Amino acid sequence: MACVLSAAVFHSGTRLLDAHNRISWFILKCTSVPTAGERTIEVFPGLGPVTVKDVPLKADRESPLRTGILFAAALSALIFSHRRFPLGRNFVVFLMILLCASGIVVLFVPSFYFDAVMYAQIWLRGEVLVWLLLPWVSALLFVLTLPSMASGFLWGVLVECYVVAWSALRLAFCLGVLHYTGILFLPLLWFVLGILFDLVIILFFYSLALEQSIKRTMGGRRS
Amino acid sequence: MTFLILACKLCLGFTIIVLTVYAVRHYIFALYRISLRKSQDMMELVGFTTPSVSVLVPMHNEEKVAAHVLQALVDCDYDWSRLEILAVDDRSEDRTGEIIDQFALKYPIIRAIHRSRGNGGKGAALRVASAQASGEILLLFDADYVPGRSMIKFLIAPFCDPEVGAVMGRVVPDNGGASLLAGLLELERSAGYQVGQQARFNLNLTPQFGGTVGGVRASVLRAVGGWNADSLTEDTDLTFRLLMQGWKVAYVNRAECYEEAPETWEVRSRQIRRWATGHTECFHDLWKGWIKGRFLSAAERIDGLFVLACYLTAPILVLGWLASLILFFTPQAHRTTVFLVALPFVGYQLFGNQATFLEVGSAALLDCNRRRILLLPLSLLNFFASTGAICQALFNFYFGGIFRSGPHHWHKTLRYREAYGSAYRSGDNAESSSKLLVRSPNGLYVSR
Repeated sequence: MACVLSAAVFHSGTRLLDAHNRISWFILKCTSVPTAGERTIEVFPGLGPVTVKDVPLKADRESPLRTGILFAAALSALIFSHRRFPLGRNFVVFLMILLCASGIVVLFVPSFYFDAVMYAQIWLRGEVLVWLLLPWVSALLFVLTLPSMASGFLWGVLVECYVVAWSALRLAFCLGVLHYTGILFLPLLWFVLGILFDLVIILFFYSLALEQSIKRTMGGRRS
Repeated sequence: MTFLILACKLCLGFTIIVLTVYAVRHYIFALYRISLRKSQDMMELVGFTTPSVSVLVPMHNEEKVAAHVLQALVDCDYDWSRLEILAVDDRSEDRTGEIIDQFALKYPIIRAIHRSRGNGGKGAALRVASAQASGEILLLFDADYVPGRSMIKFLIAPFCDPEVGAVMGRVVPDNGGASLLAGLLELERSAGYQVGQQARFNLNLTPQFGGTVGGVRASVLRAVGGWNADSLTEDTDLTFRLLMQGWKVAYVNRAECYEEAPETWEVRSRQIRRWATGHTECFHDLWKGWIKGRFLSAAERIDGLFVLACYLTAPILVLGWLASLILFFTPQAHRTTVFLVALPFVGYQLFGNQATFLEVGSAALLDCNRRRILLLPLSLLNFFASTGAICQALFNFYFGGIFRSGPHHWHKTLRYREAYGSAYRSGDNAESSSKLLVRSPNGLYVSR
């Protein structure tokens, strides 16, 4: 079943990516983020080229003061989180390292170039693989583990749909942030909202599915 | 730049291989437990004469919990003529010694041992207590544990098999609702025991003797050289020495004992740093002997190495993250074989990371733990937090001169349980402790 689903995702990959990108553009349009034309990119060989909108970035290096203020504000927010939430401290420290590395690159490596299309390409490469592998993960987490195979299958399909929809929303958010703040937050966004976020979504659905299964099992025992 | 990309790819490849192997192990355990729900804990006890038992309770500044554990042990339904409780006060600066003395006066089966000199630490305290114990079987409880009435019988039963050298029971936090961290640790412990330990026992791998809620044959302990007072994780050290000498370690899932899980990250961080350091110390001390161990099967050898090296995966994981970030933001790295580079990376992120959560989910299903399982996505925070703490501990271990440095001391976990200490101070006697512990219908104590 997982094999069939993966094959279906690969077969309809180009259409899926187009639909995904259309959702992202719609969100960008609704939030008044400007676009500067379209470009065609290749995600993976065999998936066919897909069209993505180019989002102009604010030039970081033209306004080092603004970049510096953004950097300081973000670092302050992370330091506050570090002090306020002890359990998330190490995660926040990792984010601080990413932010500092990114700040150094923005301010001191003028040759480094990155634009919204490149970011979208990296994003789509990661997400397509998630969509391809997700049926196998779902098979393990939902179909093989849950007492009811049918409900496990339904949960798996639901997660797949949700992951695709959320990916479009997250990409739009990242492109919006890129437009307004430049590449400063790029590694941070990719790390937090990329594959890690997919993991959170899967875990969220997995915990819900388990909770429902346990509820039914316990009800069955009582009756 | 080419060299950096190559180094990152090698680093990422190594991370993926190591973590995939660990993930496969977790998947096997979880699916095994889910598909075979009945644990193999039924054993033939006809003709088994209950042995004499010495219960060792090492304590260091445990006034908040000392009375609970002693009262619960006294209330156990084991024949008193075959039972002695050795409560060790190891240089406590609070009222622990006084509480122990009062219990010893009241109950003849309790013997108070006061230590005021020699090396500190649990291992050293256990060495002293073991030397004075007269039982055939030594059972161990940490001071914050509250054993149920049948606990001693549950733990003794596997010793009817003459090949069993040590037995481990199940640890269950009773304060899962006290904080988010305690709730997450309840899930983690549940996975570790209900799935990990039980699967390793059933599959004849290496279930671990955890140094509390467990027991060891006194004669076997002497034969393998006793407790290693220099080890931070004397339980892991003993487990592997026992297995290398051909003894079995049994796990009894039904022997549930309640403990206080750390409620704040500072306490948890100290605990996990101690475990990481001690475990890695054992890895360096024992891995050669373990590989050569003539009583071990190939599967036991492999699983044992996984257990000993488990904390080394944290720094490997961090290196993998950094390498993947560099590769992702280096356009040159994408030019060739991008699919081949990206697929294993994403695969390991999804499958590798999900493995431990599958274990947690399986344990929740087996335990019907409906309340806590909704916290599962937040386990990622605990995962990041633990990874950082382990990296810090291992950095200190390898570069901070901790390795084999000086005498060890008590690495005590902070206790949160209030009440008995204050009740005791107000002059109540030991009987009053029963008001604070409620015995549930299954005979287990639950603090209220």
